[in-house]
Amino acid sequence: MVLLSLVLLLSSAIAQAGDAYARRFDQAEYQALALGAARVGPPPLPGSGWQAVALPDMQRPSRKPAVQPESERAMHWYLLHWTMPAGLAVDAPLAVYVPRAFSGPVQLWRLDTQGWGQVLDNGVWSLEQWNMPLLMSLPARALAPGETLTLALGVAADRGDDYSMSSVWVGPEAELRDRHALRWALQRTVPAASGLAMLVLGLLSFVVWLGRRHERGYLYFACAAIGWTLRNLHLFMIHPSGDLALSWFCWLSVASIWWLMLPTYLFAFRFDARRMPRFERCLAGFVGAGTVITMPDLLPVSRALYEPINLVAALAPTAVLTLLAVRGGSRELRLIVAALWACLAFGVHDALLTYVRISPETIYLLPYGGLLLVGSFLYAALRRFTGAVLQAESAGRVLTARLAERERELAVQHEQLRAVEREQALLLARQRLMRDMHDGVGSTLIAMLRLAESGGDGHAAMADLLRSAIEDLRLTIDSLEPLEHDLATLLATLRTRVGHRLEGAGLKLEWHMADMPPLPWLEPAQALQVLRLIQEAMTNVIKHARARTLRLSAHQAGDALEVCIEDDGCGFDARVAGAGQGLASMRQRAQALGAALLWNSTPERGTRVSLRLPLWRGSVPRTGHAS
Amino acid sequence: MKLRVLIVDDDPSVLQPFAAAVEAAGDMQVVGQAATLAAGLHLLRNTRPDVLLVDLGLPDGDGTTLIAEAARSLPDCETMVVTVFGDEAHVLAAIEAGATGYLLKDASPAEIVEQLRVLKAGGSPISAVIARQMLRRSAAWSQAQRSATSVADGDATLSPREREVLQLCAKGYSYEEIAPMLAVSRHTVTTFVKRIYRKLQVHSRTEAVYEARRMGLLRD
Repeated sequence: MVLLSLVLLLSSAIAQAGDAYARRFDQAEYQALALGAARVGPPPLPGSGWQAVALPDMQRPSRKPAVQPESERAMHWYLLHWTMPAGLAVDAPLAVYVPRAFSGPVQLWRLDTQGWGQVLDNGVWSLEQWNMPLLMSLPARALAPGETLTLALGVAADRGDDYSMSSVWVGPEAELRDRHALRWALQRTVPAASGLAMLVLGLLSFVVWLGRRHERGYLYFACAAIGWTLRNLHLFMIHPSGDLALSWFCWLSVASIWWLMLPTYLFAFRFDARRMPRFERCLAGFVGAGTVITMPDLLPVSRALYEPINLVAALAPTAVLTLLAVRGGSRELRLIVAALWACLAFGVHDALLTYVRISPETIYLLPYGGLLLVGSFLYAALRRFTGAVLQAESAGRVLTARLAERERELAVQHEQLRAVEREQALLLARQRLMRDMHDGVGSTLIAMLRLAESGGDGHAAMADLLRSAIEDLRLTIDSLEPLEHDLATLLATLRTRVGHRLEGAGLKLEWHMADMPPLPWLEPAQALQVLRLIQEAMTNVIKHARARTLRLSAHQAGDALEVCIEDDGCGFDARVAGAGQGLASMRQRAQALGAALLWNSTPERGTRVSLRLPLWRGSVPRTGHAS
Repeated sequence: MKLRVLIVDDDPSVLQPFAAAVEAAGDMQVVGQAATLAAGLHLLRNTRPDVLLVDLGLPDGDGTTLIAEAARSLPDCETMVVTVFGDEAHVLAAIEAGATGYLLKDASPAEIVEQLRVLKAGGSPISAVIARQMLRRSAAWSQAQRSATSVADGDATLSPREREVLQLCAKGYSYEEIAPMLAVSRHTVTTFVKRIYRKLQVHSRTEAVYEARRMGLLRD
């Protein structure tokens, strides 16, 4: 679009600047001459049989003046008189510029003193001349200002064929070259370049389609681009010379526009949510049938079918798409439909040009219509893409918001959970503390109270009770120390606490701690149970064993850690009432720990108590009793 | 030359029996008694004791202030914390401040005197829990040194021997038991322990500096 407007701007600029000496002829003298066997012959001399005619001159067979004698082929001559303007260099190179002349090859003759002399016969380019602006240099000849140059332009046409002659420019070659170059660009270079660009895009689209077979749009675009290239083939190659080849070439040029139109419309249908598969199939069938029946030499009327097929193939889908666009179509579809209508109008314009119904000086517009259509497609696709991106972004935002909300909820839940856990931990700690107080300090305090109330001389006993209460408190404190689940360290705290009592009782302590893995389940509650159990065992030794040595050892035994308290004292009978009570309490603690308690006592040869703590809770060693 | 002892505790039921026990021993004397941090600091400067016995919870401040002051101004002065339970939370902070052991508040006079003598002879025993905590911290030091972010000096990490001593302490062995296990004298073991204490103090100090720098309280 931008390119088109640039070109138009440039053309108007050149049109204004270029006419210093060149003259545009919108009038000429006309005479038709039958062509006999001789294809080339000079025009009639000025004066006789010429009649005035306006340029551009478009003649259709119906309006054609009779050519005498009746002949298959006639030469239509246009006579021009150009006067050398003052101020132009006498030997300036001169040229004749014809924007367009239909349909046979153009001839240019110049009248000299010796009579007509041929300047050019465009027979070589006769097949391409329909879309080729002509610039013809005149042989050098000095002209005095005011001197008249007489020229004759001839265009050949078969009987019954249309022919036309645009207005003609005569003047300095330098001025006319610019005009010719601009028109060449508009008629040939720009369509060829844009056609190539489209082909590249089409190939790209095809490759994309190979990877994404379900997205037919890419395939449609690729097909349209190929159709477009075939349609514009005349811009890249000369027409083949043989009759058969030429008719196939013409058929290809015509049929390719249907192959271009079909995927274009199918592509356009993709921009509406409503699918019309039956209509699409009909359109494809119609185009296929049209392609076949117009093949050269198949039907005598094939050429006459071109335009009706064109019209149906373009009008029907455009009308359906218009209906869709008007009835709730998207903005993109409406834009595309507008572009399609523009293309349709351009197509009609081009057909009128081809059939010489309008001035041959206009250019074929459909190539630019194609650009317009591709532009609208690109715009629509871009809008869709942008829409998709926006949608994705908003979806992302929604997701982020939801995520944040969920995170907040989780944080609240987590906080609640933590609060519950804290409460639970507090509750457990309180329960534990209550139990400990009840078992330990509480009962000791009551005993002391009774002792104090009795009023007797019980100071020593009271001190003992106090010491035991403090010791018990210390055990509780020790069980809370950061032990890192280490049994040896836990036992070591007991050593610190009761060591002096062993010394006081004259007992020698032997301490043996092997390397042991940590006990994962050894939390404060369990640690206190272990401490009390071992303390009880040691107290038993101190009080009852009459031993000299106490050996406390710990080591790993299979999947358990074994703590042994051995003495070399008198031993005891488990059935003796006093000892039995202490053992029952120890056994209870062991059971609570999921541990096994074994004791082995031989009278006069000491006692061995062993506590087997499983490394993993659940794998509880067997509780047993050996004597 | 008698062992000069300064006692700082706000509880008279601790102060009096401790003072009495020290005075009763022939080879040591009480050079001062204080019930507040301020008075304790004043006495510390004026009496320059050989041993400082101090309670951590003083009415006008934290006993660790006094311990740190003693460690700074009187390097030869040994400090013991007087505590009810000897629990890790109290004792480790005191050791980091510069103390070398602790005394239980309910210790008998004989135990007090014995502990003081042991202290002067080579340091009071290190509790298993504290030893375990020190091992854990030293692992953190060496890790920090490997990653070269520590500001501690080079030989502040524990030597293998010191580590062994700590490991045995954590298992509850006494110095007398550790000495033959490592084939060294008891005195050597106490030397190791003293060195370990010093390193812990160094680290607690450098860690404090490091933390202060990290928080922007100190400039490099």
